[in-house]
Amino acid sequence: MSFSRWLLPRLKQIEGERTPRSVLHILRGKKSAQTFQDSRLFRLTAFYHVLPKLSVETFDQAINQLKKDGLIEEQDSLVVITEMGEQFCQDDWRFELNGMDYGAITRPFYIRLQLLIQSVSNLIHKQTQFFPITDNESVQASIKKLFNDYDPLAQNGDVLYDELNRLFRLLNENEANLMMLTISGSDQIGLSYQQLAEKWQTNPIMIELSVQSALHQWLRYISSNPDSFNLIKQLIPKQEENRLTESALVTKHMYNRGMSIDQIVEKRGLKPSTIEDHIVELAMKEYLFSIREFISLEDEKRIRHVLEEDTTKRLRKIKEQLDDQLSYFQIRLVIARLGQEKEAISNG
Amino acid sequence: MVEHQLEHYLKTYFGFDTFKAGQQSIIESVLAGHNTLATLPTGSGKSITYQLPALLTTGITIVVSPLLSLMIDQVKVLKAKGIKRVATLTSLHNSHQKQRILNQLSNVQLLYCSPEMLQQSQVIDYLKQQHVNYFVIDEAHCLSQWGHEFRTDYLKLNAVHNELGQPTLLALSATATDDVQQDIVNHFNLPFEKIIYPIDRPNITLSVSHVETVEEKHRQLTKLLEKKRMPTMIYFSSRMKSESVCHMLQQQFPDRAIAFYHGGMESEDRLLIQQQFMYDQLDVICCTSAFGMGVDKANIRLVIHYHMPSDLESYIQEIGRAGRDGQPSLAFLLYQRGDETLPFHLIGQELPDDEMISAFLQSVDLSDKLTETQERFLVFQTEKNRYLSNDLFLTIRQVRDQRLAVKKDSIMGLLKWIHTDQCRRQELYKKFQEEVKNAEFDCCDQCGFNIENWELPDDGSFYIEVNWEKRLKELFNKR
Ligand SMILES: [Zn+2]
Repeated sequence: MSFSRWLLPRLKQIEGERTPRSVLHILRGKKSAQTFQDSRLFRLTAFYHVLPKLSVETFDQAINQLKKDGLIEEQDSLVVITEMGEQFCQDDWRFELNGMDYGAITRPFYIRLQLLIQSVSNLIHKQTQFFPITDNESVQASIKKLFNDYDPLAQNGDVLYDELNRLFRLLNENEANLMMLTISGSDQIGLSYQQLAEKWQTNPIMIELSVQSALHQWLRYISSNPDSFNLIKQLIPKQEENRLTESALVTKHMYNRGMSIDQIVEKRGLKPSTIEDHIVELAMKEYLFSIREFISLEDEKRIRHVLEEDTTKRLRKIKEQLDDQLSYFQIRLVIARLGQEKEAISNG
Repeated sequence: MVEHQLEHYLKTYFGFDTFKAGQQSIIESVLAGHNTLATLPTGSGKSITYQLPALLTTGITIVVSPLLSLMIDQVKVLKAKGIKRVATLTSLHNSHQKQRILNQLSNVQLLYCSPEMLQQSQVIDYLKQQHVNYFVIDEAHCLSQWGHEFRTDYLKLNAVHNELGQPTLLALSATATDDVQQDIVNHFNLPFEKIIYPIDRPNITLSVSHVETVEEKHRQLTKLLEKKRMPTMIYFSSRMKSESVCHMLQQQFPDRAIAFYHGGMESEDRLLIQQQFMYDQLDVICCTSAFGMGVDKANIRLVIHYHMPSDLESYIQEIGRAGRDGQPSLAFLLYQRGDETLPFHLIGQELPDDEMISAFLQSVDLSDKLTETQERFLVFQTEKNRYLSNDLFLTIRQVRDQRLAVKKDSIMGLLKWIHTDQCRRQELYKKFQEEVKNAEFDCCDQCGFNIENWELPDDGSFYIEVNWEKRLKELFNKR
């Protein structure tokens, strides 16, 4: 499958609403509230930050190809799928991507894992001299530290072998073989995406997406079974979200996958007010979290106005001043946002 | 130092049992405190001649080199061997990193430095506080305007050397004609011990093929690669061409591993490709001259030039990557009439034209019009001649024309070699040494070598395990 054809169903999601470039921003994981909000609004969170190095030229080339093939058009610079294009939107190659949760940590995680495997493999084969697959000194330092801190590693590679074995079994045969070819060892250097693309007769971007997909599966599995991956879990970079309560984190992941509050309530068997608490926590702690899905800009302005006048912050009173047209949940969201803005100002 | 002692240290630090030809006499000369001018061919372990003395003495050894990537590669190699007290000081460092290195100079035994860093008085001040044992000038031919890579910032090395209290000098080059050697000695105006090692390579067969069209070039290339699978380098002068020919060859030879390499690629991809070639995973690498710095692969059997380089020195260095294991190897150059336009065009970009000179002298802002080498040339010449010359424009133009003539002569020299009807081996090396050794295998196309009959034993090909489970077991040595 070509990259342009793979893009088509993504473009379908934003049809008539956004320019093609907005999908580029999502794929590259642009850190703006707009892009963040778009990902969720158009159910593209799985693809957020999965191709951080995608160039504008490559992306525009794919868009032009789709236009040339008569599959999309631009009307007032917004994407429109043609009748012929509609027929190709069904075949959806989503992979197992989960970019919103893992996009930002996938690359650092993987380069550390690759260097760890290369180091251990060389150690086992008694090769004391080798060229590390990355020049990045902080990555090299983190692996060196792991060797110092984690005794079993220096003794033999059994722990790593066992953990890797279980991770590779999660993947299908084809994926597993592909992933293994990216790994360097004592006797063999991994292949680049360009070379894998030649072997698989596809293009480097599709290979990169396959690798991302495999890594996201691994990361999800390791996060939910941390006790079974005592070694490899240490390679996962710490994320900001660790500041969230554990339960809020679960809600966040479900929300990022596109579930509504009602769906999360049903899935988790918790009270709606609990899930609402989580959402408020997200609004308070996560700068990029958008509250627009729960309250319009107009209503947010009204609440802000009342809050400026009334410093008592008693919810009941505020709700009355708004003629009972808005919910407690909505008011709390705006307060949470304000609190975060204040924190940002005092920190800045 | 006694001979077996030196070999003992060679084994300890670098893991080699014996010195390669030429290394030991240079090291002994340096350790005895003689200023030394030495040539050693590419791939014969030039770097050990200063690394070993540096490690055997307290104090610091400064190595000046114009090749950033080479310095970085060497530091990587040393660190992989467990030698940690090495550092680089180049324009790639920001001021913060630079300061950190300068603060730790007393812990450094071997400092790799780009020439422009030694123009900074701050750097010199820090270096003066250290005991400098040896001052090594790599690629010393850059000092000579007769050399193929004259660099103006090398001309200040004499002053730096004096400021640092005239430590023992080691000037190294892969190739240096008599003129170049004389320029180096004159620059420092000091007595030098000269150790000139022959650079000819008797195990490499030399061959040139004249073609009429690009299609014929490609046909010949294919025919040569068809013969057998072997570690092969193909040199290009253009990045785009290296990619397009690579793709063409991949289609023609679907069962071979063929990749391209050039300076425009991401550094991590470059590392992968370079390492794969070292590990015999690649059969053919289509590259520009950016490849090969610090690459020491013994079994390269075939070096093809798809484009001609711009001088004999570069050609000698590039084909010198073939057959370092001493086994029969072939250097094959494809020449199509007009190929020389590319190198002629490139030297045009290295030096300023008349308009640029006069604009520069009138302080017109040229920042986006000049290439880096053009600007460096103008800055240096203006500074040097400001108080000496009545007409700066004429003086600089004269220097420019002189440089241009040297460069054009270099290209013409290589062209003449391409068209010679004499023995290619004699013609290629006679400028650089008095006596050229006889070929150990086939000599050259002028001496009866015919590419049609070229044969090499098959030494098997590399197999990549694709099954993940088997490969995982291999990685961890489980059977
Ligand atoms: Zn001959």
